[in-house]
Amino acid sequence: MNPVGPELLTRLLDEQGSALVLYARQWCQTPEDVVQEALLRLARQAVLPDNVVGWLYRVVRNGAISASRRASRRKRREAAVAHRGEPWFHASETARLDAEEATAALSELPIEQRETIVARLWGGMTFEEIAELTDSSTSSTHRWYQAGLSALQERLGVACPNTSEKNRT
Amino acid sequence: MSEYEREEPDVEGPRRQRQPAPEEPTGKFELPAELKAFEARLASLSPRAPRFDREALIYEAGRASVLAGSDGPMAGSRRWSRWGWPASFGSMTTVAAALLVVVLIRPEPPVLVKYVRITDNHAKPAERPDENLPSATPAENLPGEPATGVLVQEDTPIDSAPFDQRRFSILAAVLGHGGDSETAPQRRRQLEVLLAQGADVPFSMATPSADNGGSVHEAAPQPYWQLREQLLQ
Repeated sequence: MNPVGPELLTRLLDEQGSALVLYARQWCQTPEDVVQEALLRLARQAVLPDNVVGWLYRVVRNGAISASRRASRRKRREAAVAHRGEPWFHASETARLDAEEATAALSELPIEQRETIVARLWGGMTFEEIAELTDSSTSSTHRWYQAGLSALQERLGVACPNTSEKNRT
Repeated sequence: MSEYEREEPDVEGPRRQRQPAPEEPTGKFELPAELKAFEARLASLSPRAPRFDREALIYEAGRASVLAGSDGPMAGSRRWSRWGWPASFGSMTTVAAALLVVVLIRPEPPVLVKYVRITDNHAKPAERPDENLPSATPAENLPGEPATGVLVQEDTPIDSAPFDQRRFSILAAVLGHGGDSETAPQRRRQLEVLLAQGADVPFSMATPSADNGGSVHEAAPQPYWQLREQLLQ
């Protein structure tokens, strides 16, 4: 019997679908297709991977990079991948940042920092898992993460919590 | 609990608050307080929901899992279709090519001419081949037939053989005697030799008479083959 049943797929879609699409969006313009292909590939596995989420992120990363290469061969418009069109985040009242501004700021970061921030914040991965995913060291991923957060904070104009609170009041 | 269910980072947000935050192994990756607060604010953003059909995706996933199942009833047939037939085709093609090369480069077998002496004294006189007569055996061989074991006889030119009066006298003497069963083969051989050397020349020849048992009559000259037939009878 195949180890990947519909229940597991539903759970993965609920809990990781959005993050996986956001992660794939860092490279390509067709993130949904990449994520779907990754899930179908998971369904074809005879043995369940040890770390399903890590396996999915790696497959999505490889698929997104391949899709980006195919698209760049066609159009040579890699810069267009970064941010054009709809924002990457939901505009909700509970969010304390503007979705479009956050999208724009995030899209301007280097790919290593973007990738690390997305995998850590919305993918829920640890630094060790991110390091394994990106074939780098744990300290490198932490350095990218911290540098990326600092750059985002600067671009979004968020100095510190105390200052923000004062500005709101 | 599967591997999928694991801890999540220590950030705020509606989704992250459901599970405990992950713990890094050491404190060396501690963020500054200012960045921790910003991290929490950033994590409050929710990624856009994917725009694919969940039901269709679940259906496709189930279909893919069935098709890729290694323990299905058709798994062996699929594997054979994928690898077996191409492998069989390749091996058979290789064997056929090797046989073709062998056939093309094989040398011609050497022609072996073997002379066989046939001595059959027990054959019937009518069926016995004429051993000492000129033979047309080489002309009977078809071209391309194997030459091994062919009886080859030298042609004896009858016309060039001189007439031997002495032997002819012997012939007459032999014919004049009835002879016994022991000397019959020898007489026959002598007659054949003499006749082959030109016994059909126009000489009057004494031939045995069947009714008088040895009386000699003057007979008209007869050709060789008639004499031979008479003698053999």
